[in-house]
Amino acid sequence: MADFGQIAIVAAMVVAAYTIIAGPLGIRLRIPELAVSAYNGVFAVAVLMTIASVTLLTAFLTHDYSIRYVAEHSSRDMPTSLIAAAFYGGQAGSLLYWAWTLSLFSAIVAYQQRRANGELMAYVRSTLMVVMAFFTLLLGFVASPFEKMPVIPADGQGLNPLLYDLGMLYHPPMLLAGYMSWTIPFAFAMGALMTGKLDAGWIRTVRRYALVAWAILGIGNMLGAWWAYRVLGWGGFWGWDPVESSAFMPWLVGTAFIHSIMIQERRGMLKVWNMVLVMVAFFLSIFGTFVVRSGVINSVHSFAQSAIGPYFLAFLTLIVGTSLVMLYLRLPNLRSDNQLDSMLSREASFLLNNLLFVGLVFAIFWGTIFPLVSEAVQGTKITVGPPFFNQVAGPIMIGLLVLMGIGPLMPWRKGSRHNLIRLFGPPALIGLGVAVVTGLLVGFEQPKALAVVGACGFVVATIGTELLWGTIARHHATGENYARSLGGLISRNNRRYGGYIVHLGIVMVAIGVTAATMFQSERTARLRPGESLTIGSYRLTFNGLGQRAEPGVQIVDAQLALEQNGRIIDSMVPDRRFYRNFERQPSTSVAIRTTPLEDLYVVLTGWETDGSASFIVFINPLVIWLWLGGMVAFSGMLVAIWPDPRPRLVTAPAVPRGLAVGRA
Amino acid sequence: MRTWMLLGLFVLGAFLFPTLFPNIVRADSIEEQTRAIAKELQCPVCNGSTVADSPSDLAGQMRVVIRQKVEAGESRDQIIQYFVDRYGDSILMEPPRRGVALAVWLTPVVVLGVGALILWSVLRGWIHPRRQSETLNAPVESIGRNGVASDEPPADAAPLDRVRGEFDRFRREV
Repeated sequence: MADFGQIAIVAAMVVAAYTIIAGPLGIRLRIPELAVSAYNGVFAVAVLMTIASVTLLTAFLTHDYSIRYVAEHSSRDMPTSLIAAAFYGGQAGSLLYWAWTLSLFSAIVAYQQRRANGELMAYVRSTLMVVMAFFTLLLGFVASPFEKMPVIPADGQGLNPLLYDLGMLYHPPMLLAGYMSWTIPFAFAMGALMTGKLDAGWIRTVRRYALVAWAILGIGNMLGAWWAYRVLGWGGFWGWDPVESSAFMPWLVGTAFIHSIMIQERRGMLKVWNMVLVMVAFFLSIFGTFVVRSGVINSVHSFAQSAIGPYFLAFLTLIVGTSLVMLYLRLPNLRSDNQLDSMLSREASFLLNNLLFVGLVFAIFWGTIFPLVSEAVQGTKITVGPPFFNQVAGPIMIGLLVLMGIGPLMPWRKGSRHNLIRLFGPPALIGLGVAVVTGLLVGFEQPKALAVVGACGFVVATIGTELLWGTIARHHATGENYARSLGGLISRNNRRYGGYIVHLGIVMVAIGVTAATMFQSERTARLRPGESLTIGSYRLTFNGLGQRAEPGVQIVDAQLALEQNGRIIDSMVPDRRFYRNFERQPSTSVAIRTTPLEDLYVVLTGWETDGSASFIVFINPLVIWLWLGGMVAFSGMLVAIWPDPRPRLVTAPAVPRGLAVGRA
Repeated sequence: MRTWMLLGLFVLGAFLFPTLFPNIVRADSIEEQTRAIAKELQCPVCNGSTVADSPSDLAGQMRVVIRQKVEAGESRDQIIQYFVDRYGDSILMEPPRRGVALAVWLTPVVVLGVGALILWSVLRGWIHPRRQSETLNAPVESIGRNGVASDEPPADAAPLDRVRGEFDRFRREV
């Protein structure tokens, strides 16, 4: 069985290598058969990788402990869903998952674009297969998931207890697929560079793939935060851990990219810059995949220790080198078609957006690798913890929030000053008003939080006025009622209004994050049975510890009665779990009670022989809006990529702009 | 023109100004003070978690030490210095603003500043050559009643390009 999977991986590597060369060669030498065989090669790779993945999955589900990876990451008493999830619970398996999803996405892209420009697509497929060949090389010869055990054990070692959670089923596959999916925009960029077809064509094609990649990686990040919140038991959802930061950076660069390609699409500008952005996004995705799977940030030395380290280093060098050379060779063809008309334009505000995003990514990257830098320079490792990131990234993020209100309303090319005042004056006042009212409600001790709230108010007000004026104008123009006008407005301008919905989602996330991190309150207490603690309007009474056993795990739980305003409203049961083989690192299971205004978050931290137990209890305000905001942003993305149902063969005659509301 | 840029910067600044203030952490009881200080220290034997949150034995002992010192009336700075003397700067969650660690604070600010300068000069370079020759003839797109620009291809694109663009779009969607 192990051999079967191994052979499939090596075969996929061979086919990928063939495809890399055969595709462009077939085009150059005008041998259609060769080109077609390369096209088919992409599908063959997908089939082979699927065979390898199904083989590993089968090995997990049938408890085939002759395979080292299966023996080290699962055990017989694990629930079936987790055994399946253990597939990506370790290094080799997650690399296999990465490569497998890449093979599937490559096949989908090849099929969707089968009628697109043949030469461009040949190079796009080649680029995809270069990445594929690298990963299959790793899987085949360096970090094989199909390595055999010298002696077959009776049972496996089980999974790291931190991964025993619902989040484990969703978070890693989304995150890894998010990293992977940035390969596709990168492949299009390389295809465009290699063929010299640098017009807006590749940008238009890549937009949807980039949005999908952006969404998958975004969901991966969001699920990571959700998992951390539920499992790690420290009351927060984001710790600026290197692994988290590495997943956040490509997403931020990707966000800059999906904004700035609009300028290239519309105005033929920023061609070089967009190339750089998509290359950086891909580079950071590979870097992130590596960081997630190696622990390199903990020490410079682990670079050498991890088996895959040197390979990733070589591959990253190859990516950067090739990208820069190609970019340099094509520089003359990447000249802008247009020039900028005014600083007061959408273009200029998008450029500022790009500056802030790239500056933010730089700050995060620098803070993430600084421990390594200081270790190399000075010999001692400086710790760069969350306070650094919050202080440096916070202001940049607030700047981005403000821009989120300005950018979408800025006219292309040049805005007239009079209109800009009319446009931004009222929303700015509303934002200021919201900040002041919030200050009166919660106090002025946290000016940063008020700045966030004010910026959010500003953004919502700009989007609100946009929708309001658009709906009214459409109502007058078509005679539809207001609800239908609003629906029509959105469905006929899905890109624009999808973007607004995403922005509203981001506003919700910003509010949730700010409230939960800056207005968190906490209590620690050691309680004897019958004693209680109060926090906010809640009163928790400890009713004693319980103990029970489930397959493979011993659970100690604490029973707490929750009172509010003198009435018992709920019971909270936090526990600690001792998994077999991992008794020394018990995992916590947090009791969380969510309301629209706040989460009550109860952690059992320890107990004594006299029956008393220690707790840490948090009130995290507005956390639920963080998760809801993520969902809103996702639905906005769906609206934005929804295919336009109207065939538009002929450009409508120029309509006076003021009337062109329905199409604006 | 310049006054408007300044006004824009002022608005942005007004939103960013509050970020200059430090977060005020109110810690009244001994318990809260202990925890606040423990949160500023990294647990030396674990990766990335604070003394406050780490389950390790060493972190537990450190919490006891902090608590004793708080009860003895030592200030936050004294207690933190006590641990820095023993474990070095790497015990601090927030890198100090001195020595090599100053680089971690300054570099992002410098990079952002240089980036802003480059962006500014590039933008000016893009705007000026055109202003002299074409501005008067260039169609200036004003914003509509609802303040939105049209989603059409730019009006000054060559007719053939526009048709081709539309055609591409059509093909893409079919």
